[in-house]
Amino acid sequence: MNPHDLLKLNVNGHTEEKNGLTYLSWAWAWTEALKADPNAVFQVHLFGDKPYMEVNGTAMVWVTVTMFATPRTCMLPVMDHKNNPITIEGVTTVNKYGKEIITKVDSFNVNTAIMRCMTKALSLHGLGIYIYSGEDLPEQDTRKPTEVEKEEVKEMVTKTIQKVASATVGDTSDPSRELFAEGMMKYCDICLNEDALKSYWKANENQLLELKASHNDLYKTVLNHFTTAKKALLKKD
Amino acid sequence: MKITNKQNLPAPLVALLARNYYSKGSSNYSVTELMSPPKIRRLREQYDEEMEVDVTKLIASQLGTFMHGRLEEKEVEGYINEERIYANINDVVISGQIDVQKQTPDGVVIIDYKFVKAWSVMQNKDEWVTQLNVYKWLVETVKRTKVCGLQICAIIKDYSQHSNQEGYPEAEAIMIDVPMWDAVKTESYVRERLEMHRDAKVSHDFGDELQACSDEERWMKETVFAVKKEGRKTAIKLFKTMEEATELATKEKGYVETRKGEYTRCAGDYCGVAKWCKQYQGELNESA
Repeated sequence: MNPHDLLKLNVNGHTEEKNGLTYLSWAWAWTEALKADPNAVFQVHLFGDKPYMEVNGTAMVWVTVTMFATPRTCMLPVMDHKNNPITIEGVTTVNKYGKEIITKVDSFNVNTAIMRCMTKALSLHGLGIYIYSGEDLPEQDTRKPTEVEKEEVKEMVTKTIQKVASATVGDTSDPSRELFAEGMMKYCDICLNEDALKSYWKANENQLLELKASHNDLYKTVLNHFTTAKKALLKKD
Repeated sequence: MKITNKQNLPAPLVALLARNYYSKGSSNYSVTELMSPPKIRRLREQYDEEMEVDVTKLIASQLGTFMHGRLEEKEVEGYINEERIYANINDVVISGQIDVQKQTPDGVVIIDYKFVKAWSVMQNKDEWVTQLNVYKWLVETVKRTKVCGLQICAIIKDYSQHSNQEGYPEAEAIMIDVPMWDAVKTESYVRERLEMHRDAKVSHDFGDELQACSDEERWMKETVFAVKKEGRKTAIKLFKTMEEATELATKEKGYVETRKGEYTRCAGDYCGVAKWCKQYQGELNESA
């Protein structure tokens, strides 16, 4: 198995829904990672003696997953069940029974965040990346999404893919460039308007320059794909 | 770029002048590139192999470059010569090469050498202010060193001891203080220019029309109406409108001469790509 295969892996049977978000089982994801690359490792970053970075009184965990000799780093806030960042000092609220509840960073929620972050970092290697494309979607909402909302979704997908693409900077080997080119073209197809297309192209400027220098024919193919898509979008408009 | 030798200058001189001394290090954009119009940069990149310049046109800039090279060799305590500083903004690297950083107890004074004609120092050179302030921003944000002053060291190539024009430089070389911007203003400028260049690159890659150069970028000289009188070489007065000029001409029993404005940078092909520029060529066709 190679990084390319990870992108294609269907993870749908290994997810669960929580408060509107879709989570991939970390145990399953890590098993798949080890199948793909037995040398895969993950590292939890320490900040002093703490496994999280303080950000304005809240906590952010950082995990690096190394697969196929390439390290990729992801971060995730330590969140409560409503997906809001938890403060380190803690916040006291009163529940509907009148009982005071203190919510603060503890070993349980830090551990949860770390394992989710590890799974997220795996997605940067391609595993279940599409799950994260919609991580902020209002999934409880049963009405049909508006055109604006659809565009927002596409934009989020694009941003996610940009993360994947950025992980290949500096690697000009054939497989890496082919993966990058394929990713570019694949996600070009989901752009709904010219601005999205251009913003995606712009965000990947450095890799495109590398591609042009090292694999000019492939670069031309990608460019042609984009310009054709742009013409089609303009025609549609 | 092809270099021609229309004056049949000696080969060693041509070889010396034709050497490319300019480097922006391993950055995407140099400070001066960032300041120049995005359209020029894109067209130069596209037509690099077809662009042609006569070696005589390189003399002025290369003399400056030679001087820079020699000055770089002169190490003096308390001064840093010719340091290139790199900054990364959204994964795009920009760089600026600073001629001199003079260390003082209050911080660093940035000095930039300019080899110019006298009229240059007699005008407001906004681009000098911008360039030095971007250098200041680089030193402060990358080196984390306070900058306490910005100066141009102007070396006047055509200095005349006998000139009595107002504002004429008082010596062959003078120091000019440059006003300092705050970091927020400079960073906004840098980011705005960077986005303009990056957007232009995308448009160019996609085969779209590039953003037009502004009047300022094209060094626009406005049309003026000169009131003249028989037997007098120079105009009595210059006006922006024909009406005003006609009024004075009638009073003085003179006549009005229209001095047509132009885009000096385009007309003189100072950008080097005027013949490929749709904006300029379109205007020429319209007026033809």
